[in-house]
Amino acid sequence: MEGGTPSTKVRRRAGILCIVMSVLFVLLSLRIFIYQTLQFDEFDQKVIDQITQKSTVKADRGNICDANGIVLATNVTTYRLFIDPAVIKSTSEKKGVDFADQIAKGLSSIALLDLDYDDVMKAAGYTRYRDRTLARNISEEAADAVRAFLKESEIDDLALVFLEATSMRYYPYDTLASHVLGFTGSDGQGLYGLEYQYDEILAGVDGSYIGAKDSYGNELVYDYESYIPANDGYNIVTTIDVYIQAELEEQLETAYIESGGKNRACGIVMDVETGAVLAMAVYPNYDLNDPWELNWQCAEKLEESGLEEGSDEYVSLKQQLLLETWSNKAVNDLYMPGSTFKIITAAMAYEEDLVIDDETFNCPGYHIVNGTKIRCHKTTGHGQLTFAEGIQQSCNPLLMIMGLRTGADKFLEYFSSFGYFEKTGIDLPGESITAKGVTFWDEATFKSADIYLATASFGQNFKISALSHLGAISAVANGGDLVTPHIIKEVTDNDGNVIYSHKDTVRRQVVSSDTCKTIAAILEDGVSGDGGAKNAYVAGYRVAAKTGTSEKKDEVSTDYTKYVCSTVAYAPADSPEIATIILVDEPTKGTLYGSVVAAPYVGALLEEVLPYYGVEAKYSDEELEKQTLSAPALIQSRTEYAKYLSELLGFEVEVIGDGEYVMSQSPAAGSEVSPGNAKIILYTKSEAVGGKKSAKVPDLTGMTVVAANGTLANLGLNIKIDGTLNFSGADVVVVSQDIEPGTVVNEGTVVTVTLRYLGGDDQTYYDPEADIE
Amino acid sequence: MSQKDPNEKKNKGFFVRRMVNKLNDSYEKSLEKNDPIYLEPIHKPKDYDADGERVLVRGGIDVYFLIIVIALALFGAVMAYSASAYEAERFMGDSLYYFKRHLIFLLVATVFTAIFVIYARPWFWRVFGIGVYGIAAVLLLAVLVIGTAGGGAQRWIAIGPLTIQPSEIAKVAIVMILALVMSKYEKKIELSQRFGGHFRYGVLYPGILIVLICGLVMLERHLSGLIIIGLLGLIIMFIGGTDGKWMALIVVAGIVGVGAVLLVSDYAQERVLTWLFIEKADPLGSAWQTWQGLYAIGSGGLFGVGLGNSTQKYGYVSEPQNDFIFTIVCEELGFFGALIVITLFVLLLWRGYKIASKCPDKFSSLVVYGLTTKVALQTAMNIAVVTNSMPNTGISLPFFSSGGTALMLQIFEMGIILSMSRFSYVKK
Repeated sequence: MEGGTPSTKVRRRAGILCIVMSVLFVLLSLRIFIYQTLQFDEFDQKVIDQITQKSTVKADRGNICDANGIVLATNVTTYRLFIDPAVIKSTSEKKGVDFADQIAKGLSSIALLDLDYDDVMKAAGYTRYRDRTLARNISEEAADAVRAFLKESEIDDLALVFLEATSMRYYPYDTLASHVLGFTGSDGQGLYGLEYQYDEILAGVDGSYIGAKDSYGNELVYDYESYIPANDGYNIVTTIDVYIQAELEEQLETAYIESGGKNRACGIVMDVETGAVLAMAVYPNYDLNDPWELNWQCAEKLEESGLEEGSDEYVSLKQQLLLETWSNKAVNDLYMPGSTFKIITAAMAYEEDLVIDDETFNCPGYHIVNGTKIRCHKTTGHGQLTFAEGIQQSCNPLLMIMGLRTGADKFLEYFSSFGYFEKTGIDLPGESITAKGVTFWDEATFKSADIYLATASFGQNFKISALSHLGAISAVANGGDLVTPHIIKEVTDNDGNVIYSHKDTVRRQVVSSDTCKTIAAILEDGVSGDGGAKNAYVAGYRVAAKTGTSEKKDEVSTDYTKYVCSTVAYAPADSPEIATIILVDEPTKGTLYGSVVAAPYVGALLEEVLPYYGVEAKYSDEELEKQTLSAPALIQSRTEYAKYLSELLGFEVEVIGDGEYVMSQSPAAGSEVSPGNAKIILYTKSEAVGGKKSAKVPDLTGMTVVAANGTLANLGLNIKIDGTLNFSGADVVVVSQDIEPGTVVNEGTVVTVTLRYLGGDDQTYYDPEADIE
Repeated sequence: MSQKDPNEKKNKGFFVRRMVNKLNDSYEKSLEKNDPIYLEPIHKPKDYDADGERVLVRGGIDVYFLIIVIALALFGAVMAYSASAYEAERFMGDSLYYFKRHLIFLLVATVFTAIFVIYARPWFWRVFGIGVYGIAAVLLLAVLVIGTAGGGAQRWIAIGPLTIQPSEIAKVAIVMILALVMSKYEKKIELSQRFGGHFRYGVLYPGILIVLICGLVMLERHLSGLIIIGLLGLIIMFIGGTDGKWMALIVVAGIVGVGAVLLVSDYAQERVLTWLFIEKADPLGSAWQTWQGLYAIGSGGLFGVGLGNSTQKYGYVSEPQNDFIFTIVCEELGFFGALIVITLFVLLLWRGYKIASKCPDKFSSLVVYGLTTKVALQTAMNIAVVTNSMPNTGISLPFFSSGGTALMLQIFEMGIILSMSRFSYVKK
């Protein structure tokens, strides 16, 4: 109990209070001291972190162009639309206007944006945040509409709604060269193809800007402000040629669809001297501007799987199919080359001088190796044939003999020398190579029994990539040099300066040019003469080609036998410039020979590409004779003159009526007609117009060209021959005609027929493992 | 200061002055001389003679106290400018907006207060004490009807360009009315009888006065005002001589009361939880203000980033010109700057108590103790809030927090102290 007078009590208690307050102040000072010393570093960093804003100055990604500068991949500006909910709230309160509502109404009324009123209101509800995205990848058009709305409603000065320009990758040709170009991810990083391979060169280096901002996001004057400009990415000029690429893709698509392919088709066109890839395609392709969409076949597979959308299995299957959609079959996948590999076996044997001139071989329909009969595709046997004939007829026993003569050691040496065991060095990601022991027998096993060598010599039971195969073929074509396939031609900056220029590299000489000449001559003769690759024949050009059909023994299906049908070709045979390969994996329709599934399209491709690539056509007399005639324009001409001219051009002429002038003609002027029985009918009386002679178009399918020509000639119709123009030998028949059988047409009308060689069996199908005891 | 003959100036000067003098005379006669309580100083000089006849003398003001107040006011004004310039520029379009207001309030308050310092005599403050309590009660009622809402509460009354916060007036009122009660019933408080003694006069009467005002403040949900008024009431009772046991009981009751409030009010609970678990609180939400304040304090280091160089005032510390201005002081001037500010407040406390102990009567003493403690208490609580030493509740820093009637009241309160510092009794 306190004592003393009231006065002393007051003073004592005041003293206590004074001490309490003073202690409080000391404690608080201590607390401040602790914050400002012990926690100084931490808090100072926090302050710096929150006040500085580092913004990236985006570097423009470089373009990808074709060899002639046509842009294949570029950037377009799109916009990100976002609002500042915090400022919308504060401004609304200050001005007494509900800006959120106003903005939501305005933006939802812009059809291009596809925004709901509720969505905008929801975003505006996040009032703690300064940046809520409403829409991405908005077009310039939509952005203009937003700007117009902001201006109209007079809220453009209030800093509530923003448009941020961003760059989006754009591929003007959508699907063209999709597997070569690849695409970029959402951050602009390359994910596939060239976009991935040259990501660093294309991406450039982002710059940066370091400044300060207040808590409302406004810029402040800041001592440590710094600006580092962006270095734009370089442009890449490729060796791809849009024209050739488009042509290849068209032929691939046709080949694939007509043969009912199940596991994609791929093709490459390459310059044999430099290794420059002029075109490389996979079918089905995909849309680079929408790369996350499956190609049609994968989409069908997903559909057929019957999996419930959204289920784990569905998602994982879709992921797998996406990878399939994107994968570049020509580079990433391996296949058994089959008979097309016989070029290489033949080159080895010839190089090693294992073929004696004029030597003949006997093919009884099989060859016995290690006591096992290995069949030829022609089970009755080819009989006596020369080395050249054996290759042209794709005779398996002959190639086995060649392989065995070469010997396992040499064979492997050449195999390796032709580059099959190494990466070609193509500038595309994910190149697969033949690994010893995995897709090829390991060396010891291979050498242990001849049977391995025998089957390998006709291209069975080992796997290579289409690209490495074409590389080896190119070596045979160009005189023996194994060149490095490449797609890059140049790297340029935005001012057009060349930063880097590709230098062609020859890896090594594999075979002599003498061997090459011989092989080319043999193959060319097989195309233009009575060989198995007739369908690759191109009038005016000497094409060297070899077809192949390998059985996929490692992937057995109960529904159908799985084959890979392919054709490799190079031209001109006397001085090769370009080589090409077309490969259809698992065709299911029609004759399943590479010579039928792939060769016609190789021919059609070369027919377009060779003249485009500057290779002049040289027609032989025989070819000149086969060249189509063009019906002259004779209407209003004097009848006599017209008759004279037509006969001079090679037409047989029939004049109807006795008029002085030609009133009408059949076929029409400019019609292309194959020579032989070309006929032109001239009508000289106007009244005869209604009474033209007519004929019913017959069904020509399955006829030889002679039979078809004769049939049409008898009916007074003209013929134009499409498809292979090499109709020597049997099995070259009409597979389609442009006018339906039964159609009644005027006499003289041109019926276009497509000829195709349906022979040329080139199958290889031996699985030695099964028969070896 | 030399003593003047009271008769000399009686009939001099203007009418108003003559009227004031007349009033002073009559009230001194009727109130002061008739009530011995007011005549006895708590600090008795050595030659103090309780029976001797004395006369109330008006001398000069306490110069040290004045200097401290001026130092704080100037320091405060400078910091108010530094802290507010950016926000003012951004939201008001004039970087001087808050500073100008601050200066105008300061100036008006000074002039207004000076009149009282010059003319007011002790009796006036007793009358003022009763009056201001009444006014505070009326305004607290009025604010419920005609008040301006803001921040979830209805606390302000707008009168022309001024906005008055009645709870601020209530703070002065509680100090003065309790000082009056505690000095008036000084003798009775000492009595230990069951009723009519220390309970009635030392606990019940002051208690009623406190509860009445606190009740009204509670109605407008002004938590910080409630705490400060309650604490001030208790402090005056404590200094005034309320029995120790009762004091302890009341403190316990107060703690229980605060606990009860916490249980009832979600709002208060959130504040306390944010304080206790600051690491877990939403740094962009409830803990934003606290964290930003701490960043400002911490990043100041020992010597600060320099006057005007704060970066936290760019919208990071919320309303840096108001409750969190001390964090900007810490950031710009560092620990030593903060220490200067705290030292000034401690000096004010020390000098105020010195004045209180020398006052001519107990009422004046209690008023000076109370008002000085009020400044110190608000300062301590403000610093406690910004250093996260207690839950965040809106308490401004006297003299620093920008403008408003609170600043005017603070100056006026200092005026009351200065006015009281002038008087002493001398032997006749």
